[in-house]
Amino acid sequence: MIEVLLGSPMLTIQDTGRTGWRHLGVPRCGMMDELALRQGNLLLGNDEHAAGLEITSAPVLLKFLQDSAIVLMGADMQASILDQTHKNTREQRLLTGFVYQLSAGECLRLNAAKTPGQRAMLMVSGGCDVPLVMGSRSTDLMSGFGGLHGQALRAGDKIPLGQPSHKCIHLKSGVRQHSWNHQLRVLTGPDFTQFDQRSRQALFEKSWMVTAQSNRMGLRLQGDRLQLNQSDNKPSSRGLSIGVLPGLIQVPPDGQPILLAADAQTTGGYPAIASIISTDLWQLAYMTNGTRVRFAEVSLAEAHGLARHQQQQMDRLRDALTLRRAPA
Amino acid sequence: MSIPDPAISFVTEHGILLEFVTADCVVIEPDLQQRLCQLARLLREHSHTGPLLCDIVTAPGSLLLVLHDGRTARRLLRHAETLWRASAQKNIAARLVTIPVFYGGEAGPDLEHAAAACGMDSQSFVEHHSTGHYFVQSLGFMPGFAYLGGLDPALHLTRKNTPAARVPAGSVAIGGSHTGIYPSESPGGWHIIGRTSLTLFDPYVQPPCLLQPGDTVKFVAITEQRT
Repeated sequence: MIEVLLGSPMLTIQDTGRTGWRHLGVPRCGMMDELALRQGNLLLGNDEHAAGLEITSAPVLLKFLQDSAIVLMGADMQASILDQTHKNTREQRLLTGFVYQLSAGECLRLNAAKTPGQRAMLMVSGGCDVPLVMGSRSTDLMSGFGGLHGQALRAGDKIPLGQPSHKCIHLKSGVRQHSWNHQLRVLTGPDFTQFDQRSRQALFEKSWMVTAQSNRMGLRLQGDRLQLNQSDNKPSSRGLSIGVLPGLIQVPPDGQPILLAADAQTTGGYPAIASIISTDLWQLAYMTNGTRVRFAEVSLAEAHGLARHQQQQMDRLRDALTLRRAPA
Repeated sequence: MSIPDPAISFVTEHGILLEFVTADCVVIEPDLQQRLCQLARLLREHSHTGPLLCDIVTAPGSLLLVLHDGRTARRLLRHAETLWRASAQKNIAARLVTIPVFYGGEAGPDLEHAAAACGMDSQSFVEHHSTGHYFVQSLGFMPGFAYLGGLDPALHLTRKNTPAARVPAGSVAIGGSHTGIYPSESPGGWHIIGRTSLTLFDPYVQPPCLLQPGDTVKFVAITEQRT
């Protein structure tokens, strides 16, 4: 069990998300940086899809009520481990991607990320063992279910932990957190050709600033105004809604694109100019107010190849860790 | 009725959009939508296609197929085409869901205004609404929110200019050419004409939604409000 001594807004339990329910209007949710979640879980000998904590702002203070191993990923929040008295720091500046052991009664403290709003992920041996709701432990903040009581975590909340795997051994080496560069590779979308020539060029040639009106549902960007072809008197939106997914770039009538993120709703009527490839989707976790984003076009074959490559890297990590854990 | 072959495009590298109507179309034939919902169900349940699919989202006139691996698209589309052609011969037996509604009063604060806007009194407005045959075109906006097609054109109402801050769960409403029911409390821009005590969405029960794409729906006016 972990007790939250100090919570922060948007501190939530997330796993790899809720799939198979979009036809009923249920969004995916899940960790914004799913890659980091899976890597951290592998290091701990957890199931790759085990639930961890997504931390968006700090300070956060968590008391471990049992001996546990942890891995932090994502933004560096200058985490430290406090001893049982909570007065002395036992370990400072924890590195992301490495396993640390905490004894019962010790605390983990997280301070602000250098860039406010960038997220960190905390994975724990055994995973957060809240009940599965519609196949996932992810918190759906919009509808208020999943996670712990369907809400962000607050002081006093106690997070149950699962049985740690016997494979969880202390490792001297860790994994590298992917470094973000805010360059997102995209496929052109079904409505790309509906946009005028200037807008199609602007999408790739200009940079786009993430605004404060961004959250887990979507990131709102600011930049050149993207416009539909005027010649054939098209309406400013699709006549009908279509199914939409995280990664899709929609353009509402104001011409300022919206990147759909993990909590995005399931249908939408705005024209879809492009979509972020799955390989780069994790970067959305580190795009905050003021971040400058650029888009680069790739082909469908490249996107499929990159997705496969990323999966192979994950497979290699799993294999390497399995070998290391095999009895001598 | 002839149904055209769909336009196929990748919305994302794993998401294939099948569009059966053109982008400027605004009204969907019920028969086409029923067949789309049936195709979605067949694809989900079929032993060859089910495992390839992560999600299938029904929308008016289109289906979004979400694959675990985008490279299986060709295989999936081949199966989809076969199932689509085979479904042309089948008679679709849609499930009928009856929904008791208490119209007007505190449960339907916009009823009188809505009736006036349609040039009728509240009673005939309720009669029109409760004698209609509806079908679930798609779900979206929030979990369990069903967009019901088949609304009598006499009852079409443009959405409110200013959405209500708080619409109670179970509220039966009209927005544009659709009627629908709010599954949970939320802000909303539709005209609220009544309320049902049925639970539309509960993530903790199986199935979580009362209404599924393709279902047919009937409203029954009740005179005693149960809470």
